[in-house]
Amino acid sequence: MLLLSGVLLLLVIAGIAFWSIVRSRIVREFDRVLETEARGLMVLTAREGEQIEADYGDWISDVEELQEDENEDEEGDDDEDDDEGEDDGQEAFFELFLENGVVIRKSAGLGTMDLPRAPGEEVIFRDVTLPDGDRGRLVQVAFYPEVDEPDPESTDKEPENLFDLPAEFHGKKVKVVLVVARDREHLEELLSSLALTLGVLGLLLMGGIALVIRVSLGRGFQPLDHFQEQVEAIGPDSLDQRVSLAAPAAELDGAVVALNDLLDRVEQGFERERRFSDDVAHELRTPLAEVLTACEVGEKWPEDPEATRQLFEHLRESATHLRGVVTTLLELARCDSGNATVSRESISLKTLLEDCWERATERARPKSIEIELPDGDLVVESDPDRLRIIVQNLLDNAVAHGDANSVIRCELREGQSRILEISNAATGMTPYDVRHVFDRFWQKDSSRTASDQSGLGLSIVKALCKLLGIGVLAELAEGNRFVIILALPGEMGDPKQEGS
Amino acid sequence: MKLLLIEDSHRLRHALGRGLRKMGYAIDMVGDGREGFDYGRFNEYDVIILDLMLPEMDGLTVLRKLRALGKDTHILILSAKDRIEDRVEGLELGADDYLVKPFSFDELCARIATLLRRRYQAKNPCLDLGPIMLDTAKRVATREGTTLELTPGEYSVLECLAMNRGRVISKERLQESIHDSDSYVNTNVVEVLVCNLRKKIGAKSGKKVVKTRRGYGYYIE
Repeated sequence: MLLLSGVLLLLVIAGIAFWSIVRSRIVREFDRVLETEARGLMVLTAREGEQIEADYGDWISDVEELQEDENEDEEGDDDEDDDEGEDDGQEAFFELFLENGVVIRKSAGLGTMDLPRAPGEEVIFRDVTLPDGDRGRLVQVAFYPEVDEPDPESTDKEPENLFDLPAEFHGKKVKVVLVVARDREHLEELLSSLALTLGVLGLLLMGGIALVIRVSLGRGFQPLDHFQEQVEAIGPDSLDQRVSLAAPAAELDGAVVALNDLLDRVEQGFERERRFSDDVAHELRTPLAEVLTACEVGEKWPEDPEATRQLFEHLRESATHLRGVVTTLLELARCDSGNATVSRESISLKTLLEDCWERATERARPKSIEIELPDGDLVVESDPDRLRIIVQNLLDNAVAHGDANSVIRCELREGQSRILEISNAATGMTPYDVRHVFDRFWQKDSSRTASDQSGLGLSIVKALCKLLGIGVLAELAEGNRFVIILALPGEMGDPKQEGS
Repeated sequence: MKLLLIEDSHRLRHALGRGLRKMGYAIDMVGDGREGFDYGRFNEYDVIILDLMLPEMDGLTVLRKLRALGKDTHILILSAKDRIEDRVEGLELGADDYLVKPFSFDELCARIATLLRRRYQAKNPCLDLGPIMLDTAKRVATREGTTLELTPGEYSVLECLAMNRGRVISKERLQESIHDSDSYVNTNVVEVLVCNLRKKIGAKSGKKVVKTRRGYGYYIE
């Protein structure tokens, strides 16, 4: 629409400009003719003695002849031109004045009317209304008539051509003003029809342009429509679909690539969510199934005390595992929703490591995993309960996934912040694994219960670190050691916010 | 009747194993998919109970591979995945049933029994063996309304012969179907079981119900 309005405006402006230019050229041409006629009459104006001779006879008869011819032509076309109201009057008029306004001579056709006379010495062109009501244009020239020697022998002077100068002008140089006027109806008709033609052409052109614009825009939008159709077809169930263009379209290429990238990320996000909910399901349901089946079987066949005792032991283990999972999930949910309140106390990292290791030895011993604790100590300010969860999870994780017969190394360093580094031997770990190690429920092996770990351990570490303002980073070091680095705030220090 | 349980939770294996054995089934139990696939392809089972989230090889892959080999053993999926898509996928890949964890032990047993009936084309759970009636759903044998006190082994033999009615079952086959694969027993055990079974059925009717085909094995007509 904007395009069309713009084009329309341009066309209108162009049309008006064209018409104005043509009009002024034509008028100038008309004026030139007028001027030539006036000059012609000027030549025929002479002063003899105290008389002004205006020998315009030929000019007048020429005009009258032309008028008759025209009337004849028009009579010939009577039927069509009857009601057109074209001029029946004269085409050209003249009037000759003295400087002071006294009329020397004028066209018969003027009747009692005078042509307007403006003061001034230059050649003036003006529009005028002629006696018959038609529009006309006049030229006004002021000049000194040529002085002729009176010729007593010339006898062919028409009386009507002669004018006696009033007494006050005798012996003085006299200036006269000649006004010649012509009917310009034809001119105006020409200009009107030109305007009409321009208008019609303009409209046709407009129509044509509108059509062309419509068609080419339509074509241009086709790939966009196709694009839109594809995008609309993608829903939560069809997130693996991507958008493509039937034919290459430079304007859309960038958008298509960006959209497909977005779809990749969205699909991955959905995948992660789906996996998460699957994993939660499994993580909670399997221990529940263990509990339920153990209870049902124990109920049905209670006779064997040893078997029953064993069932109760398993019940306890299942319930404990379940409790761990539920607690972790709740903690994660709290961290997510921002509902957790954080306390701040001074904590000795070395003591914390020792405590947590004691809890982990039960599982470490069968795998012959040992620990190297740091010599020195670092004191940090943090939430003691949550920091304990973090460190415990890190050590449990190192024990569960570390190689048997290996050593877990813990280091404390003071740099820009206080650093705790825990590393374990992890053959078989790849950079891909390291990238995903903080994903919820991520485990190297896709089954769950085999190691009795929930796979939530490191994701809770990440969430808690974020909550406490501790920077956490996982990487694979030389010798295939899996390393986790924590950057903790010192006393009253500002925490280094660093994601992994 | 012999079952294979492929489940990675050792506690669940333990509880289910105890319960199903008490119900009279012989049961092999493995904890990962690869082992499960090997057991499944090389041994004969009446029903395979298959968990989906397994280490080494996941449950659906085990299912697919067994079916691709042409094994048409009945397979019951036992899984925590409860979405419609998961159930449909499992059934479409060739499973015969799908049970979501946590489940009722009774329901599991009933579904196993159904699959067994299907295997032996015995829609009616109650089998009329003449002097005695065998209810495979309730897993009891009755004579004129009185329940026979059978040990699990004895019941297993009776059920195996009853389900394969009209066919002679060798001692070896009987032994295989009523004992776990890793139990080291010889066919004498089968003879003892058959002997005790006959006694419990009735002094006279015992031999009429459980017949011997010398050199071949036993059968029920």
